[in-house]
Amino acid sequence: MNPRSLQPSIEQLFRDERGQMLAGLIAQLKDFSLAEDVLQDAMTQALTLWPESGLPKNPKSWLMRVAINRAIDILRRQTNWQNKQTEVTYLYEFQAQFNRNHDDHLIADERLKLIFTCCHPALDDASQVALTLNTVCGLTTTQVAAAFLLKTPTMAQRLVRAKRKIKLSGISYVVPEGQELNVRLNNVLKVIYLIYSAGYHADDPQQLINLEHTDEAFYLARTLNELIPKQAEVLGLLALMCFHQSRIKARNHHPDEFISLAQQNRKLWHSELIQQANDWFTQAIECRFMGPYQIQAAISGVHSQAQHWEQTDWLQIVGLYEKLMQYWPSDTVRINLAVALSYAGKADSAWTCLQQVNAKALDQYLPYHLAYARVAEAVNQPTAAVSHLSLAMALANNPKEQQFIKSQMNRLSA
Amino acid sequence: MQYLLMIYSAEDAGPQPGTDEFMQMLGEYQKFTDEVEANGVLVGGEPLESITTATTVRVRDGQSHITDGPFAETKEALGGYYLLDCQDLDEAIKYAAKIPSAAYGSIEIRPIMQLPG
Repeated sequence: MNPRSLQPSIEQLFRDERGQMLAGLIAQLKDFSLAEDVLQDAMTQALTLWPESGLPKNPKSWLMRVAINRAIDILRRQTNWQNKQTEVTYLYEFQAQFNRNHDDHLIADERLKLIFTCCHPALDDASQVALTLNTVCGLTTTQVAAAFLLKTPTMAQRLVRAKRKIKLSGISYVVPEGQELNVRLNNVLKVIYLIYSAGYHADDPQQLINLEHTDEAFYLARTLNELIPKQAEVLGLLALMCFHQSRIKARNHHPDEFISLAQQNRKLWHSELIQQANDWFTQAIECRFMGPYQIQAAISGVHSQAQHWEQTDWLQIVGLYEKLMQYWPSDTVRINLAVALSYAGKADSAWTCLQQVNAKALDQYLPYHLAYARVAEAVNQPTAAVSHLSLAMALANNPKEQQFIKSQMNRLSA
Repeated sequence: MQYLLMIYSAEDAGPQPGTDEFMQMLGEYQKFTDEVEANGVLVGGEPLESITTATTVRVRDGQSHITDGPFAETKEALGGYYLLDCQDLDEAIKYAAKIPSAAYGSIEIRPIMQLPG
């Protein structure tokens, strides 16, 4: 076999297995940066040796052994290495497991610990997202920086700061247990949904959706579902993302304007994805543990059932938003509830509902102005509707949104 | 690992001295102190006198400058602290949430720096 031809399969292996190997190394070394450095070194070595020697029988074990060897070297060379002697002895024992015949399939999957650590609420939201994309999904610092519209060195600094905080503040590399698991799982789901939304509503002025990023969210949610199966809210999130995903084509059908749910050609909805979403939703409900992601998935599911916008079961959606309010009593949910009420033929309730939000705090929030315009139209106040559309227009930062708002304005003034 | 749990609150927030609620809160503090002591995590902890008793010292060009009051004007003042020896941050967070003042003020958790050697 031509040695060069091995290169792509080696790179593919690195991409597929990096997260799991990194998670395993952090579990042993208790140090994010050290784990990343030694794994990088091991991969570099592999890229030099494997094209000549061929792939070892258990490549992951090979890489882990080389990486741990490198870590022992580094630890021994440190000035205070006497203090590290227990650690080094322990690493020798750990390394002994990776003898030449060690089966790759027997390597413990520590990715769950990695996910929970990256999504620890003691780190700020942006750091949780950045760290998760970088270490769990294996995006490079430059790719993560691009997702945040930041320069690479700025992102590199943020990542270093987050890893230092984990180490110095004593955030344990563990999967939380008991009651704590549900609380912390909510935080992990929030991070995944932030990553999904970033892809779905990408701020990129040229592109409304960055598909690459919704892939990362699906990868994370699927991995989570694999590692802790039968968790109602994980399945609920998968269903929710999948319902959204099924409409991406219909939403982006027009090159210059994003197409709202009301105007989408429902024949463009991806029926297999809707089926998949329904499957996940059914599995979630079977767990009998209600939660906000399942409720949102249910709302999305109600839309999927309607053949036409006019057939939408708005009363059911109103009920679901009211239920969602019990979990997330926030103005964001209230805004959605008001819009649903307006379509359910309850314009007056919608108007009352909208008056309850903190208008000042939502001044810069585009969906608030769109919702206001919709409800104002329902209560026959077209002037108020148009003025809120203008406010929305001032906040829109991509041409597709601007075009959408413009069509709304034209329709109202016609 | 040792953590300093700093108890911050606005001095006019929460139960005020001389009220029944204040006496009840003192009882809750005693209960918390007993718990961390019984669990073997308590290293130290004291309440502080009111911020009106604070004095700030700065040495500039070898000269001590003494001022009345705290260094920074903040609404929430440091009212006391616990020094706990915990397994990890999660354990420290669990205890911090049990400090009675957490219900109306806030608890800042800071790891004690590990000096080399």
